[in-house]
Amino acid sequence: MRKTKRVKGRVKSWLVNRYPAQRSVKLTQNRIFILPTMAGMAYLIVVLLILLLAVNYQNNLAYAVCFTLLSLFVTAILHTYANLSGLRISALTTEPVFSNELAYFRYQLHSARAMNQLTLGFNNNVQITVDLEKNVERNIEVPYLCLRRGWQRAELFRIGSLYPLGLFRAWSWLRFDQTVLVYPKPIEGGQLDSFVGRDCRDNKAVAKGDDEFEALSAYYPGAAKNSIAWKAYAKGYGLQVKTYQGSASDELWLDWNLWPELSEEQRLSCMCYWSIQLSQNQAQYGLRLPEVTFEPSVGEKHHIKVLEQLALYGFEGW
Amino acid sequence: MTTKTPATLLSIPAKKWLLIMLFVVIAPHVAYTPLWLTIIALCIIGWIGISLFSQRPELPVWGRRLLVVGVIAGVLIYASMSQELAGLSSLLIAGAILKVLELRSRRDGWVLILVACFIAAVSFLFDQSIVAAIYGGVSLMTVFSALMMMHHPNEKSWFAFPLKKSALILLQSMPLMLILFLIFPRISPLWSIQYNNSVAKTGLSDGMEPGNISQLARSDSVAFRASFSTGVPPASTDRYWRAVTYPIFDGQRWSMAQDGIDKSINSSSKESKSLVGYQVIAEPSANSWLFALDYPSGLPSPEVSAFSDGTFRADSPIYERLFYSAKADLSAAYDGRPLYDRARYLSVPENGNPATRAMVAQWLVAGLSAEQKIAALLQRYNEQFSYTLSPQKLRGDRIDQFLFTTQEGFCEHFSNATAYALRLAGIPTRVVAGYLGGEWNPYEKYMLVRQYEAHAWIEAWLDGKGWVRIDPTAAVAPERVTLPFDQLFSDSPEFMSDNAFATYRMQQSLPWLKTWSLRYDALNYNWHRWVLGFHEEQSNLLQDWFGTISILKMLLLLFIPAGVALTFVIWVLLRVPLRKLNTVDQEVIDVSAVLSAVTPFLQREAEETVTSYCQRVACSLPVLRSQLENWSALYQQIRYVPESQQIEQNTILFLSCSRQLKGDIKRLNKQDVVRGSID
Repeated sequence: MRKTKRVKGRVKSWLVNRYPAQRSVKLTQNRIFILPTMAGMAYLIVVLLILLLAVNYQNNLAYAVCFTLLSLFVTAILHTYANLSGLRISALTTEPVFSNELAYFRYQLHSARAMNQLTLGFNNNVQITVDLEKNVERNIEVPYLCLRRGWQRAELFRIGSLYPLGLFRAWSWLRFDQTVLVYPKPIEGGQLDSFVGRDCRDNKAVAKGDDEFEALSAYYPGAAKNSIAWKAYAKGYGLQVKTYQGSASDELWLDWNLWPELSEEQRLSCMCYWSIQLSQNQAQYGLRLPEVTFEPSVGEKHHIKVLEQLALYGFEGW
Repeated sequence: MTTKTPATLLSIPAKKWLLIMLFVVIAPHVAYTPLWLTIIALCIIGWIGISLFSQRPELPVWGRRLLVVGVIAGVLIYASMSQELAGLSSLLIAGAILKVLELRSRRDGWVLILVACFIAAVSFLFDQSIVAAIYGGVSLMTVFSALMMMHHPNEKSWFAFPLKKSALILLQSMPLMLILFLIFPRISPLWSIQYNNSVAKTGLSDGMEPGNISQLARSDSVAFRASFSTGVPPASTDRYWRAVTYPIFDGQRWSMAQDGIDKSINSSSKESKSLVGYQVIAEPSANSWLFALDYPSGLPSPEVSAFSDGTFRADSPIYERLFYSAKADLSAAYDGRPLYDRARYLSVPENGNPATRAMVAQWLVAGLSAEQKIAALLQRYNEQFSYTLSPQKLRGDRIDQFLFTTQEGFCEHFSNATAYALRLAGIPTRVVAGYLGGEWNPYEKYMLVRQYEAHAWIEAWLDGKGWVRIDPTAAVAPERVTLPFDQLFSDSPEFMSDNAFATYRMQQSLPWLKTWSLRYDALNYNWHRWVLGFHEEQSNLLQDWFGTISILKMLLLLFIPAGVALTFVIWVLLRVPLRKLNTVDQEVIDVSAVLSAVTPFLQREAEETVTSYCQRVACSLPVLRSQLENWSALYQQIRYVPESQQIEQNTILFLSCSRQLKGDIKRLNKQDVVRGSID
């Protein structure tokens, strides 16, 4: 078991070194591998049995069946190969995800020939199956389970096909110059004392009306709909967002030192959780990490910047 | 649409196709499987088929188990009782049918596909006609359609699409298939098998009693086909094909000798003008005797043994078509050998047939010679007898009755009486059974001999002349020898009463029907010769192409092209692509080469980065320090700062810089500055 793993690892590292990471790859004969499947081997055994039958009964039509099956086996190699050869795959941009979630690496497929039943997937991950029309570009998303925060590079992934007869499997390993940012997994925990009590009040305030809000600020994309000052909008002041007194009065800080009892990763997860919570409530909050400090702010851009910092905290590369 | 179904489950169209495939593949076996199995098979295929279109409860587990146990038990009982092949096909079919009950994953589909391939091959053991071959092609097409559907579930055109595609793939496979078919060596069977399939015994039997050859007149089945090296058939009076001789007579029945007939060692194939070479394709008859054109000369091909009575025999009963070639000397002269075992050819029962005995006694009293006795008898036939397919029944002293009362009969009546009378008269005789005549097919130039052309004649031993053929039927009805049998008897109700259509064909009123039937038979003939009997033709064909053939040569012929093709493919696949170096990197290598030409010490190490290399060189050649620093900085920029605009400019700068660098190094080298500075 261990031995096969080691051999597999070697083959894989050879493959990794054989093909430099690229943004776009065209499958050609030096990238496509073809081997008979187990079913293909069983088929050969049946062909052999039919040959025995033909030999023993001196039956030329049984010989003909045997040879037809055998030549079909050979023809199938070409068909299986042709179903992968000439395929062009380009990597597209990929959305960040949270750790322990599926990242969808996006690719664009294009081929001058129609191709059928292509299965794509990263090792041990969900495989997807697509058919490709002739000269029609097609975007696909290949899921990959991200377990670590930070930059996640697209692993070696496999594109394969059994089409048309399943006697052979053609496949190719692909490595793309493609990364996805993985945020820490948000984990609820570690009280944010100053926030919790007010959190409820805030929600109430939103429900009650607009008596407690302090000021209007310019609209930013991603602002919650119920925080938009529709009255002001109706009066012709443009889109404004209500900022609440509470959020402005005490400055909220997601501080690295808030939860000294937690480990680094747990802290990051908690900070991630709270940053999501705060952003949903349009709270103004700042971030304080050992090396980075963001002044309190609101808005989607701020939120993303915070998440990026959390993701890349202590990240040293690959 | 991105579909995320578990790829190993069978789709509905795949299941439909698997059922169609099973139905098509099993259909030709219905004749050889027990009826109950056929009914169960149809029920299961129908049930599963219906449940594909509308949701229906599956068979409960206990019901399924009961069915499986029942069918297996039934088939085992059937297989143990039936002949080998029918049992085998029933087992296969039962297995496939039971597998249909659990048709979920692709693996189940594969089991069905593989069994279907085997069933399709087995069906050719029962029937090898052209129609069966075409049907076989169709069933292979359904097999591959089903296989394709398993790997490409296409809901939209689930019927036409896989058919088209599998037809295409099959067509593309044909060339290789034909090559394999032509050159694959036909090995002799690896172990002996009892191949008793349904070949009914037709044709001549091992004995002759009046009546059993005329039985054959009811049958128009083919006895054999023959082609001649001359391309033209022998004259109709020379078309005597001998199959067996009957030397032993017990008063009722003529029978073959169980002993005393040796394998012929006659190999004196003298070159005679009347020597005719011919090839025979004998139909399966479940008998071992074959057909030799009178008179056999030389030795036939090795499939066949020749015997001293001029007959050919196969080594075992013929259950499949047998091909052989032989030579005949149409006017064989007596070779001077004496008659061996004369007493056997003269023996008749002590008593019986007094009238015949009286007639022979008259001949003896008259002191007739052997030829005169024969002539007297034939004369009698010619004047008083008639030839008929429906003679009256004979009882008691049959020969007396025939010769003096009924005076009508078929060839066996005449030969029976003639051989008996001549034996009484002291002339050794034997009855020869075989075929006379045949239908010449002008399209493929071969002669088709049918069972109704079975004939019996006699041979008499005349001292100084050897065995001489006497056909008493020719004396009664000379047209039997000269005219085709079917023309002679097409009006007789007994003729081919087994086959109404064939009789109809014989009516000369429909010449186009006759032409077509000749053409159809010509097609069959080629089929038999080139496809079914290819193992006979193979060695000749290959010999024509490649000289003498050995198994080794054939295997080489098979493996060398495959090996060459494979090597080529491997070479193409594994060829290491010559990676084209970036011009910038090439420049670094060039500079390093120029420096190492000055002194090997200044060559760039494999692991050395360009920056550290430049620093090292600058230490040795401080004159070039600023130039080198500029150069390496440019290199860094081009390689590691991804801004497309600057790369182009910097590359031009870099190239001119390195050109200058190389020039300077060479100049310094000439001035011995380099060496000096290192020292």
